[in-house]
Amino acid sequence: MSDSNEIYQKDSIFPPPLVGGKHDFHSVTEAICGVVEKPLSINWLLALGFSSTFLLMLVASIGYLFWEGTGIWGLNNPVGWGWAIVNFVFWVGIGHAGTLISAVLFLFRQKWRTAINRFAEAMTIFAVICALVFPGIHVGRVWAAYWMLPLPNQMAMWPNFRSPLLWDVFAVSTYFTVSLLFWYVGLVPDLATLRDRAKNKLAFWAYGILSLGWRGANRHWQNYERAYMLLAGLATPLVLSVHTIVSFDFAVSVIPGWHTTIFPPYFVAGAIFSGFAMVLTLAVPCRKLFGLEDFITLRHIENMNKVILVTGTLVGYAYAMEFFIAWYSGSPYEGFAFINRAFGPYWWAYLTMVSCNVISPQFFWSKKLRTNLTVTFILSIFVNIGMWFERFVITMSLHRDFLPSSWDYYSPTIFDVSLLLGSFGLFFTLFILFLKFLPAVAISEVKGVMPQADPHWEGYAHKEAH
Amino acid sequence: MNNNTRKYWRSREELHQSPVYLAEAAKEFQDELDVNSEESSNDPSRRGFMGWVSAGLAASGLAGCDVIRRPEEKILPYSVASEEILPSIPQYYATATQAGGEVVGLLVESHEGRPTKVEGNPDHRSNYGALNNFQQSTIIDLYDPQRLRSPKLNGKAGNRAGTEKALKDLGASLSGKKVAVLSGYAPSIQMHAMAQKMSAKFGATWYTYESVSDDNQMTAMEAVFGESLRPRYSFKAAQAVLSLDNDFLGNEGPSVAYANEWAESRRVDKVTAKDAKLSRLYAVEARYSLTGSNADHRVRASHGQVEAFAHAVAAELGVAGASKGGVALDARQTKAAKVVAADLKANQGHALVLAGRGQPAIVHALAALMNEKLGARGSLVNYYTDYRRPMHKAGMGDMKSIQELTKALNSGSVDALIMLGTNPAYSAPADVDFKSAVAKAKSVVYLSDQANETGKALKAEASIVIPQSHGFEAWGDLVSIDGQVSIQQPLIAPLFDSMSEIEVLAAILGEETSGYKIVRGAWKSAVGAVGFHKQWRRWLHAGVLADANAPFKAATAAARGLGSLNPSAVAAPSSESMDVVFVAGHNSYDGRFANNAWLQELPDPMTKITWDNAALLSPATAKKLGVEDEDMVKVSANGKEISSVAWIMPGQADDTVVLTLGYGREFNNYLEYHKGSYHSSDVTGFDVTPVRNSNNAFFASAGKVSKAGGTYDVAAVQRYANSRQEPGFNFEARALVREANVEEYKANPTFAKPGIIHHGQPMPDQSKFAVLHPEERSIFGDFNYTLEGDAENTPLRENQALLAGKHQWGMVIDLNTCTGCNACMVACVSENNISMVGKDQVRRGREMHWIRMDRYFVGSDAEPEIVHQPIACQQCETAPCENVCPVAATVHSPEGLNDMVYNRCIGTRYCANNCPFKVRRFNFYNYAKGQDELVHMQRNPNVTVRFRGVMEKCTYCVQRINKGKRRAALNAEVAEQIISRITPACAQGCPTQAITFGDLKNEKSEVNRLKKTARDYTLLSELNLQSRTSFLAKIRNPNPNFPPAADAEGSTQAG
Repeated sequence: MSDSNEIYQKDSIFPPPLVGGKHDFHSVTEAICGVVEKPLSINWLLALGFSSTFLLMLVASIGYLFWEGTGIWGLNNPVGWGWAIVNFVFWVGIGHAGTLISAVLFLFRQKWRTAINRFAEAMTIFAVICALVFPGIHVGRVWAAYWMLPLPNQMAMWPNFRSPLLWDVFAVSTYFTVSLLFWYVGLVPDLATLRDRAKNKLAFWAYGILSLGWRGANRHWQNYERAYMLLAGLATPLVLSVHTIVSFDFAVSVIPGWHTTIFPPYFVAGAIFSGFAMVLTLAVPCRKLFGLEDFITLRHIENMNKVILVTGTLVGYAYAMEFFIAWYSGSPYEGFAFINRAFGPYWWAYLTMVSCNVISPQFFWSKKLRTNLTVTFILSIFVNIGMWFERFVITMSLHRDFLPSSWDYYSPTIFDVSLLLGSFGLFFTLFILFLKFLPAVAISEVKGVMPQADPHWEGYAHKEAH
Repeated sequence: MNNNTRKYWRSREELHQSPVYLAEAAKEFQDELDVNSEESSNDPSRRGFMGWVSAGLAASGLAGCDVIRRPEEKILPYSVASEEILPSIPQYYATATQAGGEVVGLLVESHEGRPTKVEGNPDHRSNYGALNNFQQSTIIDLYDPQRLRSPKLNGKAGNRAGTEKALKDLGASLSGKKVAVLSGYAPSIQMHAMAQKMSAKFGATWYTYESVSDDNQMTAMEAVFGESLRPRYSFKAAQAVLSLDNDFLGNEGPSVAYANEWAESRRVDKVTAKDAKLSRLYAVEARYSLTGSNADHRVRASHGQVEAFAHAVAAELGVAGASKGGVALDARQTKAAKVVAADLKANQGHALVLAGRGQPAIVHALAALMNEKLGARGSLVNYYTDYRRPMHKAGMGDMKSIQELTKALNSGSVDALIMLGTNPAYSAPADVDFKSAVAKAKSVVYLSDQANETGKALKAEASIVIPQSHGFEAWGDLVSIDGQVSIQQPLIAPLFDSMSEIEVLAAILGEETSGYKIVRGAWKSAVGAVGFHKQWRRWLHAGVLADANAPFKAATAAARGLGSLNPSAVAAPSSESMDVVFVAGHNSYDGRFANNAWLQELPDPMTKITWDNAALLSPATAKKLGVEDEDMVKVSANGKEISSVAWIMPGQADDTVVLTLGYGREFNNYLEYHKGSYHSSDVTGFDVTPVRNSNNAFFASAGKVSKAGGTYDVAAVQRYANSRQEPGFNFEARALVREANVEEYKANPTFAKPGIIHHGQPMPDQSKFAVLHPEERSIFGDFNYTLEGDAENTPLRENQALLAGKHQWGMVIDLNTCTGCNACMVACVSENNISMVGKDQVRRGREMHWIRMDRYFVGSDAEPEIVHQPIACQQCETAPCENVCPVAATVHSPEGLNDMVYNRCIGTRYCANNCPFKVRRFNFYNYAKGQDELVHMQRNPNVTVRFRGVMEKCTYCVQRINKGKRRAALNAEVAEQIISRITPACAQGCPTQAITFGDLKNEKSEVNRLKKTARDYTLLSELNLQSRTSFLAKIRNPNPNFPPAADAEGSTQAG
């Protein structure tokens, strides 16, 4: 690690290698599978215990919600959506980076993606799982929530296809399905590796079933790569569509502050922004804890910081443009909505949002800062906070709309808070389980970007043959 | 026809199979109520097939496992069917009720024997078919789970027969003893007769006590006319009205009739703008009353300045004896008094002066003398015998009565005390210690509806406590202020072992105790037995008796002069020595409605506070004292001190604290979500009687308010912050309430129409209200509801195909006549089974009212004007709520209603978010949970009780529409009249008929006429909502000579 970093710090005209250290194919397998095969560590158990405590909190909170009703939240008459929807949009946003890194960067042949795509994808899956919790539980009559699905029924009733909430059901569930497939297809060769290295019957059978009889045959590889390519092609438009449609939940309404055409690109940029920040929040400590510094190098981190800088600036542009249009439209309601957003009762949320989302990424103009792990970690957390607040600020447009007589203030209750914390519990529980039981880095893909995999590589015997 | 079969025929038509017969026969088993038959189609469709298949599958799957939870219910048939009762067809009975002596005629709706809703009797002159918030809410007092259910006879539980015996025994032992009777106002012929008998048989002394007393008026009338009279004003012909602290649109006098008549004098929809003529209302007051908010000019004055104002105007009018009294007026007020006097004089014969019950007797006397000078007596004001006290002694007002009774009790000179209703242990001012005095009575009979403070103060072993029959359970008669008599007939047999006032007295007198026999017998002997039965039935049917049966007629005596009344000497208030003004609560009155959830949750029309009262302070005074909304304060007056919560009321006089009576009592919590973190106790509000003094019950000087530290959560549905124009917040650009003065209206009748601005163009001249949006015209052409479907030549608007119903419903709300009294809100609650949610939930912003009363301040902080605007679902044709629902639970009916399908709703709340008017209400909890079965009896069986997780909102009372359509389908020849009489509950309950509902497709309908008037506008038209509810702009009638309001700082000298 140390020397790869040293190489990286020097201003070389050549890009630094994607895999640091002195690795060959075997040592890569050893290093990555080693994480899975080592016995359970006390630290891992502690982490699991900690996160699953929060998961339990989520379960209890939802249980009470089902028992008592949505009244346990801080919702009121003008503000019909609160933290549940904020959390939903937040987690869907987080769920963007994974597929973007995997599919879009794959299609663009960005080889640096290989080290991070696996757990970015895992993160996506888990984030979307967290997101999917909320639309189901936030409705008043949960036992009838399935009516949102177009199921044949005795009432001969279809759902209302004009409703953005219905589009949402389709968009998010499609995205989840494709992301899951994409992730799983990518996992198959690595699962086979784990199967082959398995030392006990349970692992052998479990990985054996999951690896679908993968033997590493040429035909397997050909089919695999074609399938992976097709799924990447399928997933790419979904990256754009899912948050576009989530933004329609707001943009299709008539509420000032929601009814905005800028929302689709603005939401997608924000989603990528928050997704990358979350990848970094996870990657920076993970590479250290599991000794993956050679695979997730500073070059990866810097690339991701650049994406954060770009998308953060895009988001900042969107904030400014919303204000401009609010003024330019001449609509008193729009104008008020934005003045109120910045100077009304929720000024503190707006301030948090702008400083976290617009100001904090600007530090990444400096190469020194964007290659500094501590700074990266701290700023990634800021971005996560800022993006949560962005969704909060947008949702709270409800608190003051057309008729001032109805204006009110929303404040969360302990059950709103427990839901947010609990969703983090769910996310981290799944993630910690993933780190332990599945290869966190795509072994086969990393090998593919190592110099050794290049037919023109001049190492080993090849070189000597010259 | 088969010749081998013998053919039996019923008629020749059948034999010959005539076309008429065939048509009739085809209809024989048809559902004649199928009002939408043109839409029915029984063609098998793929969708229908799918439905049946899936239903079959689901049913077969579910049959095995008991997964569907069905509530277990028992259905019991009548063993003997009741006469005249058809299940599901409600019956209406005429009766009457009174609160605080104000009698109104009622028509009570009764479903299968349970009264469910109270409506006004149009033939009664005190309410003209409408009702106020108290009267409509009486229905849930009947079903109050905390009503006393069985009598307590000297500490032991008893029943009705036992009670009657105990009372009879008591009566037998009373001869030669000192008997006292205490009642509230009882304007009833039977009560007067009973009082005479009590006096004759036992020599009983009768005391009448009401906490909200009219003592000042009584004193003045005795001084001016020499007898106890009550003025009955008439506003219909009024041109200029001066209200000296009188809240006649709120809760003083027959306020429903007053509001109606006053609104008539301001109606402008029946004439062209050029001929518009409105009466002008001046209000002079310290508090901000509902009447003040409807005034064209409101003079903010301290309590003492009101009297000075009265003197000043009276002097201008040449009333002898008018001098200088009260607190000196400031320069603007002096000028205002001159202008008002000139205006009154100019409208001689059409001018009227009213004095409020809180003002000293001299002000009432001056008002009477001014009316004399203005020639109002006989036309605009008539004086009638004050019939509210069953036995009246000159000078014996309410406060004097309770003082004397307490004195008598303390001196041990009362052997038996009979209390009929009233709750003096709670409501008596602090200097009258009735609570400890009543325990000294040797024997007490207490008739009460609740286990209240007075009941608890009694010695159990020496008292007979009897549950009081509700007015809907008892026979009686009631006399209104102008002598109109109504028979009070019961709707239901007493639910518990209760008795009425006259029954208790009859039992003590040892007479017949059946209320029916007492009342009927008395009337029979009064009018003679010949033809009585028919007459009696006619009375019960009509609810009112002919004027020939009135116990008194209008007095003819002229006002003589001020008599012995002297100007009061009051010092001007300062922050060290503040004025304390007591007012009757708009929802609590004197506290008798403490356990009435409908009233507790009804926002005060001025402060918008629910479930509480507060110490109201003007903004300047609050600033001086360093208190803000929700700060706890200590209020001291008359040597006592109470705690209360501060609330800022703009427009109130400075250095004045206004305290509302009737709070600080327990609400016995039959609402599941009543308590919570914002409200942990059962007590609602703060009891103010400790700082009240019986010698001056509505006013105390030299009071003090200081910050007590700590705060208190107040559940106000609308805060000051969202009621006023705040710079930068574009409040004025919203143009929600559109108003103009009468001159502007005459010059520009269409001022309220939206002035549509295109980018870069100035606003058109004809409008005051800029609305930035493209012209309101569909690319498909304008919709004309009255056009018949000439598809060739009628351009179809986009949504016209969807609005194919035979009727198209619409509503118009006239802001010019709406007074903001909240009667519509209670009517809606009563009709639509709306849940009350409790203080904690209201504080969280979850009140469920389908129609709400918005209040906005206009002008400066110190002296703002206030406007009221009722808002319910606007029934937008292009409703934003409909397209966002993922399960299509809110959809449009062909008749233009925005329907809410409760059992399809899953509660995403997106519709509520997307509603620009925020009229949708969500059941965050199962609010109807855990309620006593008694409460269920009030429910309207035609309206679903909504479950948790479901959205609800105004339906234009679709159950009433459908009832009307059914009846019209059955009575084709009068169908049009039936349809035109369909009225939602809010419109029906409105005292001023500000709400008009009807069929837009009928060219002759009233609603169409109003929609065509120039003042008609819709809210938020820039969103192209095509709302079915529109508003008629408000017109004010200011006096051009009136001194303009000083700026915010300068005018704080009023106190």
